[in-house]
Amino acid sequence: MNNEDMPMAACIDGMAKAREEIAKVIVGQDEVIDLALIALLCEGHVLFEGVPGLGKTLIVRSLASSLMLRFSRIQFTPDLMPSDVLGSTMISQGDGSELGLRFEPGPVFSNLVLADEINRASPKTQSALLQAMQERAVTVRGRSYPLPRPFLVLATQNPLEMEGTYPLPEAQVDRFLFKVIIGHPGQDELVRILERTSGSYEAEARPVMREVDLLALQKATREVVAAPSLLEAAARIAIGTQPERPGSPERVRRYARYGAGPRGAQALVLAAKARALLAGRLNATMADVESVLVPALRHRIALNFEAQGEGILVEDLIADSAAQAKAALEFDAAIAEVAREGGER
Amino acid sequence: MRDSLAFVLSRTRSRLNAVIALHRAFAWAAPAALASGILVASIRALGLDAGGFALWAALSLAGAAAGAFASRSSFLDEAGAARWLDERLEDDELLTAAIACLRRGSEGRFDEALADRAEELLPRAEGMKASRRPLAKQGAKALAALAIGAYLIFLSGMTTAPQDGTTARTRAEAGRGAVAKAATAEEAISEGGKAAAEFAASLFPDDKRMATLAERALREGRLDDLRELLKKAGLDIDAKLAGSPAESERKKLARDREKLGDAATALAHAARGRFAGSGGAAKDGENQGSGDARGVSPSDARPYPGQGGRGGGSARPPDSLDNSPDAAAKASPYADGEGGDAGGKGASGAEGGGEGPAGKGGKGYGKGSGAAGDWGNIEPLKGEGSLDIAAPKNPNFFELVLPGSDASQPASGLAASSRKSAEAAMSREGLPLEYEDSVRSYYLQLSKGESR
Repeated sequence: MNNEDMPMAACIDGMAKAREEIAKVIVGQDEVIDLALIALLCEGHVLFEGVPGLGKTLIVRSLASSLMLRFSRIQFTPDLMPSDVLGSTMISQGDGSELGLRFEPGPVFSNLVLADEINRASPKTQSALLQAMQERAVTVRGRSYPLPRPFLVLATQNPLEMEGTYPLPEAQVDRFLFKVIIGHPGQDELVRILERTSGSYEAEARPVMREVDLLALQKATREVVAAPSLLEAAARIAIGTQPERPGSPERVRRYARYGAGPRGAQALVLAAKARALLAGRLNATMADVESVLVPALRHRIALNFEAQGEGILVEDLIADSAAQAKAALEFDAAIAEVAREGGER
Repeated sequence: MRDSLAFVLSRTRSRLNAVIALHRAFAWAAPAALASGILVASIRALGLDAGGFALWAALSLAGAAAGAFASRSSFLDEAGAARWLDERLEDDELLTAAIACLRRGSEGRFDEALADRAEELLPRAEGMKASRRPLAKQGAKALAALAIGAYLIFLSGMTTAPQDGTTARTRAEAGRGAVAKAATAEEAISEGGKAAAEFAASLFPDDKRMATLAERALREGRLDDLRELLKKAGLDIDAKLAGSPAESERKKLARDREKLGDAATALAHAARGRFAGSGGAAKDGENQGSGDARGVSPSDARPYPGQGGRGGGSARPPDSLDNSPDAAAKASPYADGEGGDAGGKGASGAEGGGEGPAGKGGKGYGKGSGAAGDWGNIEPLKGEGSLDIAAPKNPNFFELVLPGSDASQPASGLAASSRKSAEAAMSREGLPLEYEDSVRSYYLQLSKGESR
């Protein structure tokens, strides 16, 4: 980067340092951390899915600490009310004698919100949070209260205990930028986790970046260059997941109930830009798109009964669609051969 | 757009598009060369003039041109060239992004920075070259296909060469042609008139004078003159062929030469047929008169028992039914001629010729004896009195015995088809020439009998 971009370079460097700070606390889960940072730059929200005890809360807390962001956690339960999330209007008496109504902001008024086990709350409460996520504002009694920026919701849901839960409707799941599956750590990672958690050592992420730098990076993310060919590829991939399209891959047409819409394509491009920026590049590439393909699209595609019966995964359909989109961008056979065999003079 | 970047991309694009066009041209030329080679070879194998190598080359070239034309849909634009360079340089699609930035007028925040980075890559980009190996591979395939196509055509030329004649089919066709030609010549000689004119015209389609001379010779029965004309024409063609004419002209001359050869052969056939009746062997001296034993060759002296015993040296036996093996027996009731009062004299080498006791004959038309080796003037058929056959009771009908029905059939309805069947059978079965002559003369006589 040239001198003009130096502040930007410093910001990008700050993100790298934040990542290192989180890594001090979290063992492994590199992809999860990367995706959380990408979502932060994209001003998107992330839905984590994994069994309890995998460090979801710790990741969010560490992220907030390293980026000097306000953090709040909401444990979703069936009796949780929207006002418990958004805030409520209370009767208050000021310095004078007059009584008045005062809006008391709820936990959603934070930079980082951890919505733990979001599928345990009633649809009414879920909708309240999801509306706030989308509009980045809370409306109470006809008055709108903007949420602070940056604003990122990291919701979790437990895939095992589904009894008594309210699965998120497809239309609302679509509002998450990513759906990240958190898996169990490997043996080496587990040993390191045991070392860190069973002793007296208490790691803590130091703040390395200011809020204003993060906002600058969010703005810069949208200015990263995406070539027309890349936009075309993202569009092809998203469209290729739609079963009603005659040109979609055969497995998509057979096994998908519905596919990704425009938000899916937007997520692909925006996430690719953020990933490029985090890598210090000013242009997004197909590799960036491919790296965010599954988390950006997996919650936007639904399988039909036949697919579930045959053990087909959403990831399979995404791979088919991506392969088809890439094939469409392939060179003419002659050029492809020349490209393979040619050399630098 | 920055000039240096635009220049490099434009040049790369041109090179890549040339590669695409050549690659596709080679790819299309190969099957085109092969298919056209097979096509031309097949046509030539059927004996048709397919234009040979020129047609094959034109079709192959057309295939290559079509391939190059079709490749236009795969041509790259500058973005495509940038993408190709990006892949080769592994530069994280920097040139592609730079092109996009410059095309939109560098209005983005990072556009200029990206263009700067792209320009730093240009020295490496200029050094990129397209590999020649894929083109060489495709070209080798095309060359192989061309070679195979050419070889096929060459092979077809070998198998259809006129001097070869190794295949049964070619032989059969040639045989049929010769038979037909011989029949035509025979008709021309015997009938004169229109048949002679047509035959002469067919011999010299491009030379009216020669055709007129030939017709006149035919009409007047001067076969030696006609042979001389054919010989002269053949020599003329040989002289022209020796002058290294163009390919097409050479082929035409060769065809003409072949035609003249056929005509000469046909004349020889016809002449043999003409002489056969008088070439009867004189082994059955009891019945024969003066059999003219002169033949074209010694083998033409036929050892048919009793043949030649009629009519005492009439010089027109081909017009007679007496060519049949039992002619002598038949001659008696029909010829009504004064049979030989002189014993037949065999020509030198004509084994069957010989002397015999004078035969008996009745009153009849003509009398004479032919001297061996001397034909004298050959008189064309002049009509009345020249036939030695007697009219049947009802000349319009043959008496055929077919079981369970009236077997009488009009002769006119049977003669033509029977003659064709006979010709086909002779051609198919390879009947010896002397028998063919007999059969042919028989049908000729029969047709004349009908006309009366």
